[in-house]
Amino acid sequence: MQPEPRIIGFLCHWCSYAGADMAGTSRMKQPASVRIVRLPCTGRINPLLPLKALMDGADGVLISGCHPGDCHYREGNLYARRKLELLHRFLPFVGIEPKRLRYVWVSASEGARWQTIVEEFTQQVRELNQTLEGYPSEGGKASFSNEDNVSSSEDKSF
Amino acid sequence: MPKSITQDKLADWLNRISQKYQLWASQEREGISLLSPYQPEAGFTLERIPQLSAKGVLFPQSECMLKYCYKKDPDNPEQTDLSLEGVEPHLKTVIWGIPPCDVAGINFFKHVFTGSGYHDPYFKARHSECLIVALACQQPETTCFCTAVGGSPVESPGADLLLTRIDHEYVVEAITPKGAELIDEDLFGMPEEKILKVVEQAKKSACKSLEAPFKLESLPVTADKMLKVFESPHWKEATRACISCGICTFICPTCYCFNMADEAQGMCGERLRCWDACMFPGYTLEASGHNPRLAKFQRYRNRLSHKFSYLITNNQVLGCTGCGRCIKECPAGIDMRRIIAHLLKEV
Amino acid sequence: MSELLNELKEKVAGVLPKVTCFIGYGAGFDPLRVAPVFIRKTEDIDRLQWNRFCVHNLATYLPPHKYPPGFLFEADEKIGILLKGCDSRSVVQLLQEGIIDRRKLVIIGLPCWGMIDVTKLQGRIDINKVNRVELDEQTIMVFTNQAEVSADVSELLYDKCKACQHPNTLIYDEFMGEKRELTKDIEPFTQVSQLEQMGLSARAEFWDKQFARCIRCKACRNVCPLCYCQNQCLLDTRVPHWTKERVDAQSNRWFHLIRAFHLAGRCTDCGECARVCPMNIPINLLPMKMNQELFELFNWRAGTREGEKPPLMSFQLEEEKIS
Repeated sequence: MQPEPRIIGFLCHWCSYAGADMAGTSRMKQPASVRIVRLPCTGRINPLLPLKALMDGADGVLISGCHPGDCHYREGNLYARRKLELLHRFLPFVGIEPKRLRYVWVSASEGARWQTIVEEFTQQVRELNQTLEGYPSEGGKASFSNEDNVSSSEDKSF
Repeated sequence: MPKSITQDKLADWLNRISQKYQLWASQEREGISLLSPYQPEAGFTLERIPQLSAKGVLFPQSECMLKYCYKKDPDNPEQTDLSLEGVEPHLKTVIWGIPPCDVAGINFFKHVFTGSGYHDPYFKARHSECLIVALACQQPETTCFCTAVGGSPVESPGADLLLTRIDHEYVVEAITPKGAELIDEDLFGMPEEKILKVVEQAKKSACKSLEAPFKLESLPVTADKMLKVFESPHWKEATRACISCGICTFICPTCYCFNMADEAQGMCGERLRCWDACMFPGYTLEASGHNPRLAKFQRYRNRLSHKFSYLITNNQVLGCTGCGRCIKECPAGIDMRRIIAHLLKEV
Repeated sequence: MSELLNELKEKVAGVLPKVTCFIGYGAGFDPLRVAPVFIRKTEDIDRLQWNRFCVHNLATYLPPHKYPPGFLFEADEKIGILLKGCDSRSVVQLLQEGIIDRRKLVIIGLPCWGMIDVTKLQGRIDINKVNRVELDEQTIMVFTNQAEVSADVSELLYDKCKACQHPNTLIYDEFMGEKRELTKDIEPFTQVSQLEQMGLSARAEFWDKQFARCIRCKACRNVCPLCYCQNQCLLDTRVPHWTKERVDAQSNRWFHLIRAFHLAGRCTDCGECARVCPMNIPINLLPMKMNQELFELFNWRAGTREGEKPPLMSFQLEEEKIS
């Protein structure tokens, strides 16, 4: 059987983290695939963070913040939207499947919405893992392994 | 006695060598000639000087020196064990078809890494198992100046074999007995007397075609002169365009500075020795935040003074082989020949 | 060409009393290359050159963050500079970011007909053995001791020149020659779209091969006029530990992606990073892809319109093209 995908979630503290918490306290069933990193605001997300997660072996990255207009800091998520859209469009250019990245807006009261999103996204990543097309880290496995690195250095040209 | 091999048999020869040795030969890739592990299907090229010098074979850009792993005792969580595993390269290697200036670079490494004082075990292990096949350079490039720094485009002390191309034939001279073992009798023939004469002639004209951009006196005198021009304003003048990148140091056959780093993931990791470049501002950055060589002319001055002065004083060897790569590849068009010539005239 | 050079020398002679240094192009190590020169005295004006090899983006010497005062220029120095159209985009972008002071800059502008990529001659002749070049508007003749070759200049132009959108300097104090009109619309991002015809995995493989060659000399970063963080660069520090010291395809990919993202919406497509790469990696394609997307999303082209706010530093509550 295929292992559950490893998904990294970057959630803002004010809306989405509370929303995910809501889903949990309401005992809504969802796949245990998302490891959540809580941030003050999606505006803090440097596009390199999701990229690094993908390249270091995450199967998918799910980013969630307050709905546009509802940001605790008024405009953080509006900056984030532009940056994340750019990242999303850029990924396929370097051979990474863009469907492995998703950014959504979930408010503190939308526990059910969070549950649906996690289910959908996990299923989507599961399907992508079947083919490994556009897998971000080499050979379909986490990027760090000493043996691999040593052998690759021997092949280096001068 | 020299032997000869025709061009169409070179591939056979390489295939045979690659069965017994790890073989490095130049490959044409994306418009540049790169020294790479030989693969029969990828072919080889002898048309141009390799983009990077051959030092990387014996002194890899990132070399794993040891691997380590921490392990927690499941019964006693306070107890952590450390396991270490040394990495010692023992590979029989052949570097094939490199120009004499690159062989001179390897000779230079011998001086620094296995000369007097400390012997570097990693370099030593790789070097002692390595055979070098040099190719005489008959049409030097516009940036070449090996004769000015005591080298020759057509002689290659330190190599094991020397090839000289005459039309479709390569005349092979064994310089060491180990090199002679690489010559398989059935692929090689005896060159005609007149071919040998042509070789002599070609070698002479190759040396003639190289113009010396500057003239060095004896090494100690050069070292002394370079110290005297340390405060010359020309350093600053000539390096205004420098962008402080590492191209000149990384492609240089003699630059050997390195940095050490531990790269870990979780509980395991490796200790690496990586090339470093004195042209990077971070090279001399001290923990206090002070940087004794903050200006690029200071860094450039250090690089050339190291090659033309400090190394002579400390190791009795000149740190430049005249390959001209740093001139050819410099993004800012800095020509170290002109700088040296200018400085030597100042004293 | 030679008329322009004479005009340039006259202009520089006129500018030199107002500035302490003029940055232009001078002779390189062979007839195929030029090198940046820094003119401080009237008698040095004759070192200036202008020909089809003047590709360097001289704007890279301007950001004071890159070269702290006293090390290249003094803090109060007024600088003169020769800028092609593409290079002037970098200056506009630097002005927009508040990095350089326009009052301390005297710009000489000119029309550019494209620069010759000498590496495109490789294969026809050994470009490292060239001792003579003859050049007119249409053809170039190159000679070595053994061979000679003649070629059409238009074939040998840099890819960026073939897709040129700004042949005339955008901002200047003095302009020489007549402005060049673009005769037809040219797609600016053809290099990107060529690569996009590959499949996802093929593209990943393509980049892996490219990055495997990288030796991390950091010339791409240092030559970039917009990469001015110098000692504070993320790629130079191990705290935070973004990049590994090991030089292999994977950590090199990461290295270049970090750089590409720091140039998002700022890259002015001068292509210097690809030109200087000693390993011939087309590294300019990464920021160029971002430029393509930003053009599509926000009609943004860095360094073309003074005073406009960069898209990643602003937002709209309802985005037109983002759902």
